[in-house]
Amino acid sequence: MTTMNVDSRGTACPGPITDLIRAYKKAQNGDMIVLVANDPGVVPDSKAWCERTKNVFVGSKNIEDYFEITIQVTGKRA
Amino acid sequence: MSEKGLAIVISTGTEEKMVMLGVLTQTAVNLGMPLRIFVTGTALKLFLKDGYRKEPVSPEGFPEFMKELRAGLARIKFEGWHQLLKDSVQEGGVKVYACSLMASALNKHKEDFDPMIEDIVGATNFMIQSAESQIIVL
Repeated sequence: MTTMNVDSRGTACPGPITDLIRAYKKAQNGDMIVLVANDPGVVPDSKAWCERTKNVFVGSKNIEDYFEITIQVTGKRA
Repeated sequence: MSEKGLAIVISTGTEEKMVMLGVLTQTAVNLGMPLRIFVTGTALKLFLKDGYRKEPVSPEGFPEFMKELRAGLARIKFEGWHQLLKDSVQEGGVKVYACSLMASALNKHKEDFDPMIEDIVGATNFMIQSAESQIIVL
């Protein structure tokens, strides 16, 4: 299992999700993606993306002026 | 959520609508949703060759707001609607069509348009192709 860190701070919608998906394309099932971003819509957008793609939204934290979102990759087709 | 795709009709080429077009297009690509864009009305001039390089048109009545918005978009390094569309077309799943009525009225041909324009089509083609899509009008 690998943890991939994606720093999308400074980008605006849909930049963080674009960055998340770029990382996701390289990930395997079981990997974790930790996305940090300061776009105010990134938490609900990430949740919706996880629901749609059958990945697991593990949680989010509000740290100083940005959000840290953890996603477990489970939606990759074999 | 429907997997049948989306269609966007862009008919007004003001700056804030073009920003929205770019954001929705990139989002559709992110979500793997097929997207067709039908360009008509005053938006058409922005899709002529190098049309996007011309001075953006602000919506009437919002000069101060648009000034602030433009500065904010620059601060957060918004890539620009044209770049977002260009990347989306290259990545696949997005097709951009120009309205045949407008093209005829303005005497414009395929070669007059931005290379991202897939074709010049009429409303019939667009509606049939988009019949099972959700249609968003900007």
